[in-house]
Amino acid sequence: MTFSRTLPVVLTVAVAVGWLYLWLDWLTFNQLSSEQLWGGFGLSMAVVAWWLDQSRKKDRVIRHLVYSICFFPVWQISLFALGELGSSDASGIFTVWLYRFGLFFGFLIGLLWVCWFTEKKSRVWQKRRLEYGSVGKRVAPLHAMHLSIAGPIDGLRVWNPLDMDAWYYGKQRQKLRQSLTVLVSYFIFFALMILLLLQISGCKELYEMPAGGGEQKPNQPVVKVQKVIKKKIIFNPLSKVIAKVPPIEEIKLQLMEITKHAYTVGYGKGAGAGFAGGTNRGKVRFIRLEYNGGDWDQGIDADLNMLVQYNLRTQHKIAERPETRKIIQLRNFPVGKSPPIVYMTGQKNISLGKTEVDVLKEYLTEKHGMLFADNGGSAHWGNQFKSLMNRVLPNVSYIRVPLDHPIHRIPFPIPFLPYVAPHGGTDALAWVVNGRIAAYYHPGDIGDAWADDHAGVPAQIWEACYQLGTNVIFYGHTEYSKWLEARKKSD
Amino acid sequence: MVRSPKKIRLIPCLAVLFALFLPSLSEGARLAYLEQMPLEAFAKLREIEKHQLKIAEKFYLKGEPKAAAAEYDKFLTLYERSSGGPYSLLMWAHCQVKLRLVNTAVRDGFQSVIDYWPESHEAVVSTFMIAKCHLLNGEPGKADKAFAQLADDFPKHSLATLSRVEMLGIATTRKNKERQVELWTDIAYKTPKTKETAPYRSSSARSLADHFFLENEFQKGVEALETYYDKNRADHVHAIHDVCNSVVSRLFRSSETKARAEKLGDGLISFVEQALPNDSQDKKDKARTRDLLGRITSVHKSLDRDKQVLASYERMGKVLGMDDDILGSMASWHKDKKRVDQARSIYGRYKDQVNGRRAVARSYRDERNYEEAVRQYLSLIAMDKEREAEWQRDVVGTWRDASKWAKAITTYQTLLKVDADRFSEYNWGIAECHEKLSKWKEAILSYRQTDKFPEAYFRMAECHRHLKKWNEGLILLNQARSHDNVADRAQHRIAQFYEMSGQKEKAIKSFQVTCKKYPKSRYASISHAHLQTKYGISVTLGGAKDE
Repeated sequence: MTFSRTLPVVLTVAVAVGWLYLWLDWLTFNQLSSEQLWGGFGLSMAVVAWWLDQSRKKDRVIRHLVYSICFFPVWQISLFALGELGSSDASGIFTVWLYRFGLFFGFLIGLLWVCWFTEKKSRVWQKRRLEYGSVGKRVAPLHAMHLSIAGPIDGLRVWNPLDMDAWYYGKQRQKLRQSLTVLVSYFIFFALMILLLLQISGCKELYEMPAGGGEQKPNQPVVKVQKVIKKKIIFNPLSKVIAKVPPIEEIKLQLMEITKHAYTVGYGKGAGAGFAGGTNRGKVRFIRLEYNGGDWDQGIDADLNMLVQYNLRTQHKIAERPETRKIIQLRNFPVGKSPPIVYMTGQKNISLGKTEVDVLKEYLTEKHGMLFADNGGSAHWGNQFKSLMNRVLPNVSYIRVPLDHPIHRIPFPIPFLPYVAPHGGTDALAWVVNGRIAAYYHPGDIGDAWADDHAGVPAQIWEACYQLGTNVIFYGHTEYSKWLEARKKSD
Repeated sequence: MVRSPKKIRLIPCLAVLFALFLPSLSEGARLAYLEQMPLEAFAKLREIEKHQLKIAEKFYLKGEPKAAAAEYDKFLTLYERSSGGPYSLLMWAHCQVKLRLVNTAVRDGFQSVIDYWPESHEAVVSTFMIAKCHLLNGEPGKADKAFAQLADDFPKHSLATLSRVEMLGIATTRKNKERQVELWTDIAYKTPKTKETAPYRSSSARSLADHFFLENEFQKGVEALETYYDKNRADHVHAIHDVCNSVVSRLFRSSETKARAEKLGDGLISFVEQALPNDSQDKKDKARTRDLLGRITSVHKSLDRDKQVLASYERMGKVLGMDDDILGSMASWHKDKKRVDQARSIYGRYKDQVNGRRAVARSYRDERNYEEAVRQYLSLIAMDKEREAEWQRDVVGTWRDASKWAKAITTYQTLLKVDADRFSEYNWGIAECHEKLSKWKEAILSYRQTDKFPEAYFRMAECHRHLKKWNEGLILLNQARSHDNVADRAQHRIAQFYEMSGQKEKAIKSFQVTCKKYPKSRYASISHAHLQTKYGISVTLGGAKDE
């Protein structure tokens, strides 16, 4: 091969290796920025285009091989572009279908190539034996479709699976057996590859906030009331003149200037309600922590209500349904793509091992997460939670959260702390790390007020509980967004 | 921030409490140092202004910060140019802190005091309070810086000491030993020696000494304590002994530090020995000798030196004359070492035979030899008939310890004859003993003869519960419910009674009533959780707000 012929291959291999790295990063590592990924994947498209152009001059097999290989980067960049650019529900559905189609088509391409290669090799072996005078069996043309026509010499055991005369294919219907073996082997290989990829990416999870922006300030509706006082007509009640007495005073309220939401609930600069640190495909998710020792799933049905109410009150995009994760699974989220807030509740014991405590500590400090704890039914649970926090953040003492703290003011100013029952006192507590609330503890079963029946509490209380829930979730996301922006700047 | 110490008039008479002017209003409650007004400023106020401040303060001290804030606000509106303005705004901000509106207090209160009256005393207090609010907001880093700044700006102000104390608290939370030592040293050595700073200086001197004693630096520890305690006074030795002996005890607990404990203990003993008066015949010196020898003994005790402890007591007896106090301490040491017989023989040497016999009885009681203890107590009646009620109470206590309820009842009945004034207490005791014997009807009768209501209602209801007389129990609990202080508990118990009697519907309703009528009570919490876990009912009708 001359230099001019090898150079494109070498360059292509280099680009392919780079593409593979970018693909793994996009799928798993999440170290590179969106711009870097666009650049890298764009370059791979240029290589694809060049090869497609070149392949027109090549023979059929090479051409088909190029087409087959080029399918994968094209499929991948389509998925990537949809994820980056699409923000609607339709694009989400389309992404899922594109993913499924690509997977199926990839499977099919691979299968066709395996069949072609096996058939080709099998023929070569048969032909070679015939050429070397092997004693072929006399078989009818129809039988030749599934039988070997040139078997090996007696006593020779063939092991090559591409040779249909391999001993394990037997003496009858070797071709059929070889085809079935190849099909099953390919299927197993494909499944293993998928499992391997899931293993690489499946350990990792991503949490992305909805992109957008807004202001972090209280949602304070201001109603301008204008008094219009009509002229007063004073009548003598003893007058002999009968007149229809008009209303003595009429105050007309002009409520035309009722406040409209002049600002968007969110943080940072961006179109629509959301967070500057978010992505187009990002959504606010409600993640409940699973833990040993107690009833972590207490009142779990209410989570969806809170999530929906959050959406109604902030217009942020939300996930379709709430989720649960084991504490240990929090380490699957990478730094910068982990949940800004997770929720835990219960009324029995909290029994965590050292690893779980370490994971929680890493989540709250290094990953800048936040824990929203809700005492679901006993002073005991409250004490358990405090002792857990003492293990997670040993050098941080809890504070009583002031009623005018941003978490109680933004977006909904709540002048009091609402609760369903005072299981663990009547004060909200917080563990503050570097000026940010890393754990917020609600003492009185706020989750029960989110349930369909609101635990029968007065409307003012459950409404305030929804508002407080919204505030806490919003606070977690806002602080996370601030941190992401700060990281970006420092990078 | 106020950072011009020269411009600030530091008022030395801050200690004069504003609350002194209002003894009738405060009813025992007093304003803290940070809430007081300088006497000079108060004197300049017009009567009407003083009156308005008194009204506000009355609410403040009554624990009604919302009303107090409104009154302070009124003062600011009515007397805008008054010299009481900064104080009024400062107090308004204090009210906001009490209402848990910390950020509002800083933004609209403390900061405004600094901005509008930068040279006032209240400005310094506000600077301190802003730092304190950082702490309340969970930002110790910011608070630490602000406190340090204040301490630097006003080094002679009492608030400088308070700032260091707050910084000390932060360092303790952060487990920063080095910083703690630095601050203890600052407070102990550099703080002006005034009455206001005394508690902080004393505490820091002790903490610093404790640190040095632990580090085996006896002399440095002594010097640290000398910053507060006068060398020529008795409490100087007392403080050194107290702090050092506690360190000796701690060190002696671990096998690794036992040797250090011995060394430190010996050093302490020789130090106390040096302080012993030469002549122990004088009454004052005698008392001092007794005290110091007692302290030497306590060091030996900390080091578990049996022989030396006994020798010390013998020495005390020799020097001061053996008396009941010394004998009692010696016997008590024998008892601690499980030598009860020796202890009893020492009790027999008491000059006061009655006390000696009582101590012997107590020793039998501690040994769970109840019959012998009672025999000893009863023999005391013959020795001191006047105090029969006291001995009988000891007897009843012994029978109760022995779980001999019938005998306890008999003794209570004797007590009712001997000491009728305390009938309620004895009837209560009889009722409790009947309960232990499962004699529910008798217990109810005895509870009826007490005057401990509403608690007696609950006890009688429990007896009816054992008798399965649910209605009678419910009547009593409903009677208890009329007492506001236990209404929530009674309502919750009513629900439980319905539950135990199998009336599920009524039980659920009563639990819900507990949640609804007493939403802030812990019984609401228990009822709510019970309704959910036992009946699967989520509608508990509670709900409240913390205002």
